Amino acid sequence: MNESVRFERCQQIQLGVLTESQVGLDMPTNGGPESELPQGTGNILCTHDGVLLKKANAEHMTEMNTSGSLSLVEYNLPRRRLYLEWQPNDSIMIADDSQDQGDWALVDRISGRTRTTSECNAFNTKPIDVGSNGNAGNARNRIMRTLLDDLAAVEVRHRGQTLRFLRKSDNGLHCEFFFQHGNADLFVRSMRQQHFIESSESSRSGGGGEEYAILNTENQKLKKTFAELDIGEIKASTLPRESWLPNKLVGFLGTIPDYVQPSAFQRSPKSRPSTLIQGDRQTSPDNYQFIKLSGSTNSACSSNSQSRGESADKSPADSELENLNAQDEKIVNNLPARQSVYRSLPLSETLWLEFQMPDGRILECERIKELIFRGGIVPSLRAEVWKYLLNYYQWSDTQLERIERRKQKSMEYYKMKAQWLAMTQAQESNFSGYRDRKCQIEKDVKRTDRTQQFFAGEDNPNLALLQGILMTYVMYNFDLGYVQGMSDLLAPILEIQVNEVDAFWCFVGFMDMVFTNFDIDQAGMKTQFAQLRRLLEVANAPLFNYMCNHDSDNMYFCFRWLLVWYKREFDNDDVLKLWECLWTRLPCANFHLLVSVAILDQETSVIIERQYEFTDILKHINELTGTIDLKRTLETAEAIYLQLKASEALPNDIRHIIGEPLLPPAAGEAPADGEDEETAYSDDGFDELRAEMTPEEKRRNQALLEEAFERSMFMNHI
Amino acid sequence: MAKTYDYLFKLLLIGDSGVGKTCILFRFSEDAFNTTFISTIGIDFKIRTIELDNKKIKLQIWDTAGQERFRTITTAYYRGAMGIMLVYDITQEKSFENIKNWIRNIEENAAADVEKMLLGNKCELNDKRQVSKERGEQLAIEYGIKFMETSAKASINVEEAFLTLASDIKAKTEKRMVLYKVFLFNQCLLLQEANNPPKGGHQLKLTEIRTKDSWLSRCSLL
Repeated sequence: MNESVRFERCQQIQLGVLTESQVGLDMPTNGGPESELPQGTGNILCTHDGVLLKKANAEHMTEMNTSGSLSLVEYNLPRRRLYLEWQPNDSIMIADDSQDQGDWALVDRISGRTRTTSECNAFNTKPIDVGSNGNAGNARNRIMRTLLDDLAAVEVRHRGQTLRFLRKSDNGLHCEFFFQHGNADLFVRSMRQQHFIESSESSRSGGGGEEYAILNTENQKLKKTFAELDIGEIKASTLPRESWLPNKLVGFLGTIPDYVQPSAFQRSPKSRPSTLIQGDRQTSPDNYQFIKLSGSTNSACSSNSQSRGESADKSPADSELENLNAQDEKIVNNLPARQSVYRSLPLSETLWLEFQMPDGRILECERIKELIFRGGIVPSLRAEVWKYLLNYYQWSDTQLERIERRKQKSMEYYKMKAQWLAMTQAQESNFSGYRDRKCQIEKDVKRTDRTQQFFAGEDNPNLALLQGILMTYVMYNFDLGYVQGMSDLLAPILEIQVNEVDAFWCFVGFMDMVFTNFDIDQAGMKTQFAQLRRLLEVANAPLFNYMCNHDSDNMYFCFRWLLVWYKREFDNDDVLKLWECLWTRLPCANFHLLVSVAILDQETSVIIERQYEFTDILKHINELTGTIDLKRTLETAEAIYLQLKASEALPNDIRHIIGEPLLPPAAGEAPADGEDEETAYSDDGFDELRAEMTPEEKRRNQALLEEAFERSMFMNHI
Repeated sequence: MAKTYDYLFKLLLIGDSGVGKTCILFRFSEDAFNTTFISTIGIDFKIRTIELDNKKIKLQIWDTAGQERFRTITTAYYRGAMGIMLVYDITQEKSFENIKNWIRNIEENAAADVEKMLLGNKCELNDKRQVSKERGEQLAIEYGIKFMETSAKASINVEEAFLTLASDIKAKTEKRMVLYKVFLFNQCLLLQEANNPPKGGHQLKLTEIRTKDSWLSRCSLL
């Protein structure tokens, strides 16, 4: 029976009858010794998974260092009470959303990380019905539940990963939690937004952490009321904008003393970009705090008002259009004008010789790379120079060292080749991993670049070379093995190198650059989609917005481009030119993503004017094969790169993608301990998609701000 | 823009790498065969409009990469598919054995009532045959789906296979449309009843209508 109860509830959720917060805990109705405890259904106000219990009362000894979920739960029976609850993981049911996940999962590069990546409510994670069966009843005993009113304060420590709750009675430590995934920012923010806590005065002087006072029930109500008046917003927003509001009112609002504002306005605790996730971005009135956060630097506000001012000068039709594209305009305005970039001549033999020392060392390799990036390499030099670009030869090696190195590498290659050549029938039949890889290679070698002279015709001996190198690569890196697309990457290299050993080591160098493209879970590809999406958002807002509005912003249609570095999009000669340019890793390692942005740049008008939907875009992109102008594409890509680089207000996540030094956090929000920005960025797959406040978010927040403004105005008039 | 077709069916070709999915599609859409084919990377689709019982049916046929590594991508495309061609190579035992994995994949990712069909391709290579026709038939019976042996190279049964799949989907769709109309009619009645409850009769609750809603959402995958 209990089973059916739960089933029904799940169904209701799917039908959208119950909102998530209404799903709560069914407490046993018998009073007994626990009559102090709340009864009935609790509303979960905020929750976070992957929280380790670090310190608590001795009765919870067995749960120490166990991962669980921390929640704030509201019970209305016998009377309204708020409880802080923590329960270990094994009593948590993860709602099965695998079928409903419309798209791919978000990038998750942290190995071993489970599905409990929940930032408040983001992943449908819900506690099970406690008490609905024997096991859960058991789990109920393991829940640590504390009345919020019994607690005095919350401290945030260790870069936001530790939450400490202090008792009211003696101000001693009541319990301590460690947030395994990400940090406690969201949880704290959620509590702040719902006015359960406010940042306390003492934290400003506190030692390296935030401190919040826990508000009692009466205080909570008061703060909420003030918050709903949005006074802080009214004040913040009127000042920088041209006044369309009666002067008197502005004056009046300006005189509202700060003390009526919730203190959350006065001081925004350290905000990490990653904390901006879906949960916060839903259109709830609580969002005003973010407006404040972005507005506090004044940059978002002023740039927006500037663009408004400009559009006001134009004809009504124009300005309407521009209002629709307000964001595009803003972004375009933010990026400096695109400069013309021209490709130069390829690295010639005479020039190459000039860089060589008598002993064979190559001077100024950075200069050479730059020349190659600008113009490529003359065909006759490719075989030699590629060996350097692909990290097979070292620039600093002398002629003798190079010969020695080649000998070494040759021996190493044949040793690995001998391994698979020696594989007996019996071994092979007992080794499915090897067999599968071999079988896939055989299938693909037959259909790789067969239209190229080098691989054409039946029984072409070069096919055996291609196969031999791929098989040897399987022995070199068995875990990666062979994945479709690799033969595409090897074929042009083999064609240039001809020699099996040289081709193999050059291929190894290339694979070192792109191996994440072939990840078993495709994580590398997903990361690149996310990065490309962000680049497009900044560099080509009209197309980005169009794609967002047509469910095409997932960038899936660029899959083939990125997987084999445009091998299928250009003719062989252009592929060689493109690859040697990309192998220089100039001007940044992600330049291949900018090539995508550049191609899309050229297709922008076609896609938008013809009103392409996702399938049309995919078809169009797939059919671009053979029609893309490489020279123009590379020039555009570099021009876009220079545009981004020259932009002053470039968000840090974009800087990260294009390899620019990150900006320090905004003044006043500097982390107390000089933490490494890099790790803060890479510890959470979310960052890739959610880092910083995107212009879109800024715009939405601006809209919310205006809405709150008007609402407050309305209230004032009443 | 005027609609040039009565129905749009989204079909999917799946099966192990190298069984000839792209060739089958090429044969059906262009009526041609090319021996220097290349492996499919990512996903692509082709369009062909056919006519069945005086209805124009636009077939949008999606071609996927076969290697297991890419399933995380290809499964994203399963969702909207109304028909799936499961392809194996009669000269490759392994590709036949893997059909059950592909079926499982469909069950996990596609709509439950997606129309399926099994194709044993490369039937022109009888001398290299590893999978008998009977085994193919048997497997199809097990899964309750239709089966054909095809040859993209020799142009055997490719056209027939797609027409069969399309006509099965069409039949199902049209049956559903009738049901849907009946349902709409019933719902009108129910709503009418809810607004003007008959005297003494039971009051219709909102939840009952909602239950019907879920039924609607299940059957309106048109």
